[in-house]
Amino acid sequence: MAKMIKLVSGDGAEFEVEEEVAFQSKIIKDIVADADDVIPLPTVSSKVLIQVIEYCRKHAAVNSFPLSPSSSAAAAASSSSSISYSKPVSDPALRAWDNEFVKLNNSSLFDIVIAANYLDIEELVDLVLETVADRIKGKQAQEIRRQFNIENDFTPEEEEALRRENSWAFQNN
Amino acid sequence: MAKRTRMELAAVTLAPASYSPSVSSSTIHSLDDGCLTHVFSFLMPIPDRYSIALVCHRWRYLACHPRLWLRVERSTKNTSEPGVFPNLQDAISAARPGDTILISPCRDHIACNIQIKKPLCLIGGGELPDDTVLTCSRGSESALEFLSTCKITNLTIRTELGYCLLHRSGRLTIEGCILQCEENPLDYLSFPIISTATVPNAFRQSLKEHGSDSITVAQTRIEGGAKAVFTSGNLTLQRVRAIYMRTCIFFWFEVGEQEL
Repeated sequence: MAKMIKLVSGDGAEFEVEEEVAFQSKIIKDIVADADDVIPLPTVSSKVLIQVIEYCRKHAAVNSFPLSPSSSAAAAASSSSSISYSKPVSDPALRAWDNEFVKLNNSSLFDIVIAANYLDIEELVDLVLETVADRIKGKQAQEIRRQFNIENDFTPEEEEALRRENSWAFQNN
Repeated sequence: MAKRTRMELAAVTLAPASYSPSVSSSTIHSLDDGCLTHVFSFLMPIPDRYSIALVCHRWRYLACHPRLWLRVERSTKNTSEPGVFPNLQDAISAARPGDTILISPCRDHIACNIQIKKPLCLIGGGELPDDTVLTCSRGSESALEFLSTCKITNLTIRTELGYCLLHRSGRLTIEGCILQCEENPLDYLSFPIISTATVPNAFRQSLKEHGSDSITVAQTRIEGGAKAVFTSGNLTLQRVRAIYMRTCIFFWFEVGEQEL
């Protein structure tokens, strides 16, 4: 019989999940090791927790051994302070599922990545942040500000100086 | 099964990417620095990192942060650290167009016939350009050969016999550097900067997207060699201004296409 763990969201909803699903989160795995099986997650709303659990369930089913290979690689990757490039999910069916999963508006994506970061679910963090990067690719600064509701806090002089500073890289300036 | 249905309904919220709902309050500002830097690491330096540097102060700080630079360190204790290379050639091979490479302050970097075919920025990691020295040994034509727009700053480039910088094409910016040609009987063959760039005049208009080839030198000390700059293509020395002092000459110049 699969061991069940109970997760309680910030707004009081309770979710029972199999141990291996919950253990996609390294934080939960560590807590369960020396505490009981009811884990309160006050900073995660039920809406977001549902989505995170769905992701974990899918990935736990695919990875027979969710813990050892990815966790040591994840530890190595997260400790480097230099460039880190994502490791693509190898299974094409899983990748397709992931791509469907992230078809959400920006706000939902941010909610999920904040929760995934808190729960230390490395692959989910990578997936969402790469999706955010895809939404930035090829856009000019103004478009990016519009898309993410960012206020331009540069003065016109600062902006001009910045453009000049970086102009060495652009052939057709 | 009821739980499963509820999960399906909640998870599938398709919406166009630019729509910002009033319900949830997470914005991109809710992401911490680590997450944002992670996002930026997926982007190519050209053009995306330069676009994001223009978005706002916080993004500029993170996008241009040295953490995203490649590093050349001669004594690598930790050879598996990503982004750190034992020599300049390896760093250049691994770099993506638009990347910045920080060269550690050390006087025995080697640079022999290193070809640079993508836009890169090379920065010396010391306080002064004297702290970071790239040496081109006798037998090599040049230390660095540029076939792309690049910028080098705060570095010393020394050549025993040959050229410090060989410019083939692209817009080269040299700022705050020291270029030295070692004194020896054959130093009439040495040039700190040599340019062979040619742009076919007849097709200038259609080559707009490639921009024009040029060299811009600022705050750079040049020592030795037959001439400071030698151009064998159709680039010429332009806008030369010189101040003659007792022991040296200060001059500013650009190398660009002959103005018709």
